[in-house]
Amino acid sequence: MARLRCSVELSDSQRLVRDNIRELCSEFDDEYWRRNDREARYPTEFVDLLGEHGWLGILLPEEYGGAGMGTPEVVVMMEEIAAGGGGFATAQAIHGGVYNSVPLVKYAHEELKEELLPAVAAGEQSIQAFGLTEPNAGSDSTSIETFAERDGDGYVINGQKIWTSRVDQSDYLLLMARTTPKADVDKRTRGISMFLVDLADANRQGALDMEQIPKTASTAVHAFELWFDDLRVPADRLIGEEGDGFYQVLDGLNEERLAIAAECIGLGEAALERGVDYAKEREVFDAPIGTNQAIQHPLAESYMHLQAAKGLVFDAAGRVTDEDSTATGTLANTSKYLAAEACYEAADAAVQTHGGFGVAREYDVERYFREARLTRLVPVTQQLALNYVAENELRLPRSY
Amino acid sequence: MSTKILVTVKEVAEVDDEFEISGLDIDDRYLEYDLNEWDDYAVEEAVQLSEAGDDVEVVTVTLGPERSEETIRMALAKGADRAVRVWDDALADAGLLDATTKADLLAAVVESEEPDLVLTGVQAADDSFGATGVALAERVGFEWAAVVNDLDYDADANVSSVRRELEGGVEELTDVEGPAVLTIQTGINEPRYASLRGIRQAQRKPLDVHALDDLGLDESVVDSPVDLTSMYEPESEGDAVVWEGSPDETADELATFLREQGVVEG
Repeated sequence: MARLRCSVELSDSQRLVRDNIRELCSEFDDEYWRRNDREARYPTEFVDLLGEHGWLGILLPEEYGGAGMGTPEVVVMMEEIAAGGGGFATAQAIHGGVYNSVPLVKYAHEELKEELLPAVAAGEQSIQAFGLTEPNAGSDSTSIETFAERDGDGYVINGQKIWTSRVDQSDYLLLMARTTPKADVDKRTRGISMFLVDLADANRQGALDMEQIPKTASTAVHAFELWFDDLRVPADRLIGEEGDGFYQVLDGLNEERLAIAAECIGLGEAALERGVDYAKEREVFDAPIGTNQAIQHPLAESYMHLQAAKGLVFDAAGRVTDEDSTATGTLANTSKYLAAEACYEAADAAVQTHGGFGVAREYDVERYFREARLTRLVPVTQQLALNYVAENELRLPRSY
Repeated sequence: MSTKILVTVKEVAEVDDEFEISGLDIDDRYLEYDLNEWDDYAVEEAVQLSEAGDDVEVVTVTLGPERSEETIRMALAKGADRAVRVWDDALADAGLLDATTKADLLAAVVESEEPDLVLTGVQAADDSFGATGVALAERVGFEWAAVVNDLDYDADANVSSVRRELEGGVEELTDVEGPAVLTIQTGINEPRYASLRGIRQAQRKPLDVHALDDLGLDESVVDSPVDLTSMYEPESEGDAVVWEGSPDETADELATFLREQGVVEG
């Protein structure tokens, strides 16, 4: 059936990605996504199906069994997954699996890449989890305290992480830790290193404790608090150069942000579609409620805002590079900011259109609304995106 | 010995629940295009044969405008080796292409490709003629079997042992000597999803476009005794009753209804 999508011009490969993801999503009905949310259940079946068909390797080079595609294709994939009914949560269920292997391609040594990446591309191994945020270092990520100390042929890691997602669904954790204390580096962004932690090995060592964080949005994707107690990591699992980890994370961050923006667009489209359908079907006072402008206008307005945001996201997807330049940072942050606002507005209009049924689980819009609210908080708050543009693009004084 | 399988694939229009008719067609705003369901099974059957055999080439052929390349690439992503698309201004202007015209066009491709086996869908989901495959076989003088729901192909002998559906639930088992045209029924296999690598590869696979000239045909091929004279939505002659509730409640309501209508007694 016709699906509500804001229109953008797609390339041949984008159309193929869209058609195929649509086909895969159509295997799963609304009750499936609903149940995953209600029961806080990871969409294993969906993720396995994607993995089996190679979708988690979309960004991996062909020499490692991946598809060698780029941001233009990933934005279509993520938008379709979210718009296909699964919402932001379902896109988030695989987001890490797609992006966490990217730094490995660039910075890991060849032996590790050859060992691991083909298995990731085939969906047999996953690097779904990324540990950066800490209780005392949220947006201020250079203040992390988790520390990796060199010891013989490896590192010993101690510390704590919070809001680390999908640890329960992953074989590996990409972990950020200080290798030089912040006080001892001349630039706060130095002295941080990136490690690939084998989670099964960490559990065998008894060096990892984790606790799930109960939450109310994207419940299907679990987030954890993690504690590392003398976790031993072999030296060859240091990814890239010691002390350069923060730069390795920044690299590619803009592209990832665009994927998240596309997830927002998809969620907004799913919500808006529900709102519009309900406005056509629901009859009160002998006419569909969509006859009333009070119902029409918020839906029309959110369509316009989604359309504008989608235009920007897709345009940016074709232009960003992995350079950490102000121009790409502004594009990515602006895209994500506008996409999240548009998606929130669409979800809100969809809930309002449903009247009292707006909070009934069976109509899905309440789930979309909870997720839309979340998009304004992750991966960074909307305010941080504004800060970025104010400071870097408009050259206003740094405010924090 | 190499084997070549030609699969005819069609991009079909799917209509929204609500739509408007504009002239002799459904308004394009209410249409979405997709690979014909029956052809999806035909492609899968061919790809399975190519995976099971040595040196089997699967070629798809489509009659359709540039837009249909999206559908063709899907078939390539699922494992076909290359594609042929036939289109011409004369075909675009003709509007309706009847089964004879399609058979003539496809026959020209069969003659240049010389396949050992041609697979088509039983019918297309939009115009549902269900005649093109058999008409093509007649046109090129191939043996044929229609509505095939099981196929065992012997490439060396070029013989297809098929099971085909007849009316009234009867099935026929028969051998068809190649070169042959088989029209493939849904359910014969389980069509796969394209893998991402397949999608990637599909973009590099050859897709040749032929106009009428290239096939040695001229515009007279579209001449047809069949004209599309009007398009309308038939009025519904009965109303559907929908009961909502648990199976227990609705079963009771249905039973009462059937008794009242005299469909069942007691």
